[in-house]
Order: sequence, then structure tokens, then C-alpha cells
Amino acid sequence: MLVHYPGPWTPLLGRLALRQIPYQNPILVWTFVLVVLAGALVVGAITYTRSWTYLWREWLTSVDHKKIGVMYCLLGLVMFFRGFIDGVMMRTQQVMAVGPHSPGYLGALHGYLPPYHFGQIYSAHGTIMILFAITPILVGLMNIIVPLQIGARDMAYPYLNALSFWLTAAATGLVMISLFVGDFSHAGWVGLIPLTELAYSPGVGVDYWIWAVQIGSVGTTLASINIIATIIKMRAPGMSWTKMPIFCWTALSTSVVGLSSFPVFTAAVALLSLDRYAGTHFFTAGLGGNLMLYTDLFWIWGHPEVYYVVLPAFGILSEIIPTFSEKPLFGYMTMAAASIAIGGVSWSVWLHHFFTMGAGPGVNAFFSIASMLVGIPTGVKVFNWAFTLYRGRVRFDLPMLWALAALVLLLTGGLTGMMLAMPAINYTVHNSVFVVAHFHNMLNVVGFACLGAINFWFPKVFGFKLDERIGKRAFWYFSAGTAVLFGCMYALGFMGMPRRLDYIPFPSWRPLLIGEEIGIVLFLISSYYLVKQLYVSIRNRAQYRVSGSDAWGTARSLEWLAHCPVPFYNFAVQPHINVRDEWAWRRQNGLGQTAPEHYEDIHLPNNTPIPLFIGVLTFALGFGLVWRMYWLALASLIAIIAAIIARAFDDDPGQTIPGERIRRIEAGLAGVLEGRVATGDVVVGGAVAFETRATKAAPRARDA
Amino acid sequence: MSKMNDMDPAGAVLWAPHDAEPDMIATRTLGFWLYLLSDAMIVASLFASYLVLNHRMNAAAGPTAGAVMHPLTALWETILLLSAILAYGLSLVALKRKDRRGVLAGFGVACMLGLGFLVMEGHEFADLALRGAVPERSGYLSALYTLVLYHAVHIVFALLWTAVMAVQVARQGFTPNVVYRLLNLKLFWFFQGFIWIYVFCFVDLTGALHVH
Amino acid sequence: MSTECQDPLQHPQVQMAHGGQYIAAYVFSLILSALPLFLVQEHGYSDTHLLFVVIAAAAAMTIIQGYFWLRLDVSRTQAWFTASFILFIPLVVLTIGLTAWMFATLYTRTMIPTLMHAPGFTH
Repeated sequence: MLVHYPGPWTPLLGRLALRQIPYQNPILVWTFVLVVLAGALVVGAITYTRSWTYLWREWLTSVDHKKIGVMYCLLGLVMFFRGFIDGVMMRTQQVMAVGPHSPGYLGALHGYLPPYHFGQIYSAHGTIMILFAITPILVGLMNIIVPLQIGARDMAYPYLNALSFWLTAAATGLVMISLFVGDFSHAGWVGLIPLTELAYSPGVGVDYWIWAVQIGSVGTTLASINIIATIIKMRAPGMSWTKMPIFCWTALSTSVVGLSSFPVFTAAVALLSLDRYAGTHFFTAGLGGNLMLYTDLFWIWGHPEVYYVVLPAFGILSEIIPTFSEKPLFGYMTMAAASIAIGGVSWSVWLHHFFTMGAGPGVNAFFSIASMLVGIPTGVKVFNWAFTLYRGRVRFDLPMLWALAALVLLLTGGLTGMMLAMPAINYTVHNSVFVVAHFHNMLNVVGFACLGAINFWFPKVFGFKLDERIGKRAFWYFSAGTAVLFGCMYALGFMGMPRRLDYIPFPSWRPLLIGEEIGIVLFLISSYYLVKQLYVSIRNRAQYRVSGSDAWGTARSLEWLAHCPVPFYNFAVQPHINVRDEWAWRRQNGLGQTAPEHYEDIHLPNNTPIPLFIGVLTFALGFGLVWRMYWLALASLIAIIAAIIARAFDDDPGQTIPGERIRRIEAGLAGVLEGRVATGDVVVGGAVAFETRATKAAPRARDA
Repeated sequence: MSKMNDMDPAGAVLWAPHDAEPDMIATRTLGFWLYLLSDAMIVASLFASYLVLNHRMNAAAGPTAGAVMHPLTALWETILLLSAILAYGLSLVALKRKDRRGVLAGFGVACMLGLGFLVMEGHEFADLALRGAVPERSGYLSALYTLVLYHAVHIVFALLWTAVMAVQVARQGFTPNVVYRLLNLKLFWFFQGFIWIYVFCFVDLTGALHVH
Repeated sequence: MSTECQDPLQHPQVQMAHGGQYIAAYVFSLILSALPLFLVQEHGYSDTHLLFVVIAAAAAMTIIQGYFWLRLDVSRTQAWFTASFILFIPLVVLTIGLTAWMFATLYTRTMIPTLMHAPGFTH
């Protein structure tokens, strides 16, 4: 059954051997040293502040949707940085390796990266940015915001939520460890077939890619189930469908897309792994395989996936723009309908990723028209945002800047998308960097929206804002970088430059490549300011603290009714929803400060370490499969099933927080907001714990 | 704005008197149903692959559908599987009567019939493999094995799950947690019936169509 | 959230179990499996006709099992099950149908024409 592959194998270590550690590669050695130093620093800091118990109790075993959301965002931001560094390396290689006389360093003929290493970098860049950076950040934001916006205490399945996160983390771990143990796929983030077949990629790189994306996609599918069920079942009393905030509509649409499309990806990658492990012939070049079948299945998922990331971004824009235009969102119903429509149309457009395959003209016409149809609901959205801005009192706070820039990017990205939807143009620019520029343009819409959302909702979770001055610097450098880099890339695309080149034969392209390099330097400066913004804001958080529940003063939806920072139980008493923009309505009618009269007991689930264990075991399963250590894979699989069964016998009775305690916490929270030190009772979890613990002057909260 | 002014703020109810406790059983079963629908998409992808690879080109001079299909065997398998599903369904009728022994008896019958189904299918495929029609032989056979065995793996998990639930019913009785798992398992069993009829119709029956 | 005070067995999803309907769906499914099998084995009709019979049988079994076994109806308990199920039908159809369509045209345009009329391609 198991396929024969070249190279040695031992029962204990599988294919793993010392020479698989790339210690001859100076780039990876230095990265390793940096990672070890940074890791030691983090571990040392946690040990020094004696935070291990805190970390374990409040974060690692947590089933609180806000903490899981924060961990998702943190994971996504770390991976965003990793993917960004990959981008910097690619840009630098391309600008160095122009023309036959360009010098080579570190064993490369041109530039400093040999082709195989370059291939791994662009594959890692794409895989990480889409699946392990943007997706976790968006899932994290949905995790934090959706239950708050619908007035729920938690997600529908808190335990499953933690499990989804730890599966994503396990997948991320596989991508990261591939840096130092073995190598990563060199076949692009799409898994170019038949390059991913064993005959052409006999190493473990493709296996790392397979198991990382496989585990990650299971995590995302489960997260989608959770969000759909939360929105259907957990809405607060009075919140009818038409009173639901628009971000929830996009979260619902995106989760339906995720739930239905990720399984297709799972199937495509599973069939590929069968080819590589069991010797089947789904996508091989011989013995009856059909390699276009892989491309087909991949893009059945791949195209809905890009809507999976863009729809929540649209939702974010729909929350930020009305807040800073100080008026309600224009065209709520059309906005909700457009969100659903985009999700629906996304299911009949995937062939436009491979028009050049050679399907019949009828097929190409169908998919071309379907692709252009996406422009209608998206256009509705753009006009709705424009009409929201029209005659509004527009304020250019930091989240608004990110949102408006995203709008501009959406226009250029959308219009180039229309061009690519036409088969005639598509044949010409297929596989050129024009395509790369287009989808980076669109993914930058998502990136801008994410950064806007982080700035927008940060005070909701942590109780203080991020520094505006440094943040604006980051914003302008980021925008300039986007314009310069992708402007040059569009031009290069028109000049016919193919994508994924490690060596550029035409010196005439050098000026634009230098332009791209300047763009990436602007991004580097921006990332410095982004880190500085976070650092300065956390250090001086006392001066950035927000008062009241509405950090921006003009927010509209329900999450702004909860305290900043949100206590672990979200709302002391579940709100009753009267109108669409409930918080804006209460604020404008002077009901914003109206507290509930009495507090009831609150029932919440207990923390559990089982999701973390399953995540670790899944990592071991993936690692065992990558290196073909079959004993490890089998043992992990059995342990996972055993853990699931054990959990089924150990029902969580949950915990009940007495109403009296809620009353005291609510009173204490008012104190926190006035700058007083929190009492021990307040610090029962949630973001409040983060805040008081980090305050040096405060006594140890748990001792109080 | 007009909508906002419609609502009189003076008499408005701002806070729910109690937490709206969502119906736990309904929430859990809905989530599991959504999972099953996502699983249906995996099956749809496998069917799409089967459809594409069910071509003489993809048989690579090996056996084609007509040569490997035994619709009559498949009918017997259908009878076994549907009977197993029915047995599980009837055990839930016993659940309605709070009849613990009836539930366990239904589980036993379902497991026996499910096991019979697996044995029969295993025999069929072992026979195929012995005649040289292994999944490594051609793209067509890869697709056939994967599609049918994917369903079989589900039946294995259905049996495992039913066994676990038998222990839970025997030990814990009909607590809410046990009941929602029984309902989820019902969805799981019934869903396998769905998938099987498609395998039966579009793999076995249409395979036999092209013999002549 | 396991502190449900009321009896879980009174839950509508438990109460909707119905032996008669389960057995009816079982019997119908067996008939609908055996009938096309019989027709296919007899070869009394053309392959295209038989294919329609098979598709009709599969569709009928979907409806019968969906209604009597899974209780996919519009009642308050089951509405979301039915809605999500119906939502997924076009997705499954698109996945399989569009794939089949594009590969049919692809094969016609890229492979040896004489092979295109080989058995196994018509569906």
C-alpha cells in the first residue's frame, strides 16, 4: 500500500536524519539563532514574572471567545510578520538577480537565493499570508466581535472554538518547524501540479505543505460551523435578522463560504497525499491521472477562499465608516443582500483561475460572465459606503484612514479583477505578475481592513487605544509602500514579466524592480512603526485609557454597549434589542448609561486543557506523517480519538457566577475606568487581567 | 434614522429579564448537521473526481467500471447498511419510550449489521485487489477505491461511536449530554444512508450500464 | 450548559422519532434500489433512459430519506436543518456539474477524438 520513495528510512525516525537539518545554510542558521534568542527571551520573561500559571489558566486552557480571538490575532500577526519577511527576501532577490552579469552570493548563481530556496520562499509566503496570517486574524476578529454584536455570552461551542484555534496553531507550528527541520514546499501556495507529485518533489517539503494546510483547513471549517451556529442560535432577545449588525451578516456569509469550500480543499489535498503516500494516480502524469483535476478541486476552494477573507473585511469597513461618518450605514438591506450574493456567486467562478486550461468556449464564457457578476454586489457595497460618507461628519481617526484607503484599493483591485475575468485579456496576462499585483491589491484591502479593525476594536478588548500619531505614520508608509510596490508590479505585468522568477533576464525591467524594492522598504519602515505603536501604547496604556463603553464616541453597534475592556461575561445582563443600531439609539436617547436594575446568575463553561492537548497531538500527527514516522502518526491518531472519547465521558458542568458577584464586578469596573486599582474580584479573567497584571504599581491581583 | 425614531425610548425594554438560554440539544445537533453538510462537500469532490476519472483514458488499459462492478453484491450491501440504519432509528424510537434496553438492543443490531456491511464490502474489494485491480493500477481505480472506502471509514466511525454511546447509555442513562449525542449519531447514521445511495446509484448502477 | 431542568427526552427532536415512518423510508429505499438494478440488469432500455431512471431513483430516495428519516421539513425544530440542506444542494450540483462540464469540453478539445466515444464518458 505505502509507496516507495527514494532515500533512506528507519522505523524510529522515518526519513528524518541529521543531514535534513539545513545547518550549512547561513540564512537559516541566523534565523534559527534569532528565533532561539527571541524564544529564550519570551520564556525567560514569562518565568521571571512567574506568569506560567497565569498563562496556563487564563489563556492556554481558556474557552473564552475573546481570549481565543486575541490568541488567533496574535498568531496571525506573528505569521504576518514571517510572511512579510519572505516577501522582503523575494523582492531583494529579484532586484539583485537582473541580467546575466548580476553577481551571485551564498551559493546562488544570481542574487543570494538558489532557485530551490527561492521556490520555498514564495510558496511559504503565499501559504502563510493567506492561510496562517489573514485567515487567523479574521477568524480572531469574528470570534471577538460576533458574540458581542449579537449580545451573547460566548460562542455556541466554546470548547470547539478552543479546538479550532489549537488546530490552527498546530498547523502553523508545522510551517514554522519546516524552516529548521527539512524544507518547505517549492511548488507555490497553490501546490502546482504535477510538481507536487512524489516523482518531481521527492523531499518532505510538499509533505509539510500538505499537512500544514490540511490541519489548518480543518480548524477553519470547525470555526465556520461555530460562527454560523452562534449567529443562528445565540442572538439576544429582540435581535431579529434585520437588526443584526452588518459585520455579523458578513461573518455569516463568509462562514457559509468557509464551511462549504474548505472541505473541497481538504479533499483535493487528501487526494494529493494519497498520490504521495499510497501511490494512487489521481493527479499523476501517467497511468490515468488527470492533473487538471487537482487544479479544478483546488480552485473550487481557492476562489471562495478569497471571498472568505474579503467578506469580513467588507464587514469591518461597514462598521468603521458609519462610526466615523457619524451617520447610519446607507442601504443596510442591500448591504446584507450583497454580502450573501457575493458568497453565492463565489461558487461559480473558479475556472477563471485556469482559463488557459483549454475548456470549451461555452465554459469559459459562463465562468467569465459569472466572475463579472461579482462586480454587481461589490459595486453596491462601494456605493453604499460612498453614500454613507456623503453629507456625513467625516472624521479621519486612524481606523477610518485604514478603511478609506481600503476603499481606494478595492476600486483598483476590483477593476483589474474585471479585466482578469475576460478570457481574452486573461490569456495574455496569465501567469504574469499582473495577476500577482491584482490579488495583492485585493488582499491589501483585507490587510488594511484588518489593521483598521485592530485599531478600531483594540480599546473594546483591552480598554485603551493604540497610539494615533505613530499609527498614522505606519499607515502612510504602508499606503505608500502599497502604491509604489504594486504600481510597479502592475506595470511589469503589462510588460510581460512572468511570476515566480528567481532570475530576471531583461535588464530593462530593472528600474521597475528597484521601484518594487523601494516599496518593500516603505513597508519595512511601516512595520517598524506598527511594532512601535503596539509597544508604546502598551507601555503608556494609562494615558490611552478610554472612558465609558464607547471608545470613539460615535460608535453604533451593540458591542459598544459592553464595558471597555469587556469583562469575561460580556454583558452583566443580556441586553434586549430594540432597533438596528442599538448602541447609537441608546446613546442618542440618553440611555447609554442606564444600567440594569438587578443582576442574575451567569452560567459559563469551565476552562479545559483538552483542546491544547489535541492541538499538540495533531502537530505530532502531522510531523509523523511528514517524516513518515508511522508509529508516531498512528500513536497520535489513537491518542486524539482517545482524548475525544475521554472528553465525552467528562461532561463539563460549567460554572455559575452569582448575580451578587456580577454586581460587585460591575461596580469595580467603574473604578478601573476612573483609574483606580482593580480589586481582586475584577481580575477573574478577560482582558482586565491583562491590564492590571501589567501595571507595576498594582498589587498582585490574585493575592488581593 | 426614521427607523430609530419609530421606537419610543421611554417605554423600551433595555435588558432581558433572564439570560436567553439557547436550547442546548437543538444547538448541538444543528452544529453537527453543519459538519455533516461540510462532509457532504468532501463526498461531492470525491464524486466529481470519480466522474472525471471514470473514462477509458483514465483506466490506463486497466479494468473499467463495467469490469469491476457487481451491482447485485452492491444491492446486498445496500440491504445490510439500510437495515443497520433502520435499527439505529428504531433504537431512537425506544429512546422516546425511555426504554434503555430497547435502545441498547437497537445499537447491538445496528452494529452487527454495520459490521456485516463492512465485511461484505471488504470481501468485495479484497477480491478486486487479488485480481490485480488495486488503487495503484490506474486513476480510475484510485477514484473508485477512495470514494467507496471513504464511506466505509465513516461506517467504522459510526460503529465506534455507537459502541461508545452504548457504554454511556448504560452508565449514565439519558442525561441531556447523552441524548444530544444520540441525536447527533442518528444524523450521522442516516447521513451514511444518503451517501450510500449515491454510491450505489452512480458508481455501481451506472458502472453496470456501460458493460454493453 | 448542561443544567437543563426539564427532561431531555421531552425534546421535540427526540419526540419526532417515528417507527412507522422509519420503516416506510426503509422499504421505499429498498424498492427504489432494487427496481433500477433490475432494469439495469435486464437492459431492456437504452443506456440514456436507464441513466435517467437511476437519477430519478436517487432523487426519490433523497427526498424519501430526507423527509422520513432526517425529518427535513419546515417545522420550527427542523427549519434550519432543512434550510441548510437546501442551501448545500446547489453547491454540490455546481461542484460536480460544472466540473463534469468543463472536463467534458476539455477532453473533446485536447484528447484523441476516437476515444471520446468510448464507454464511460456519456455521464
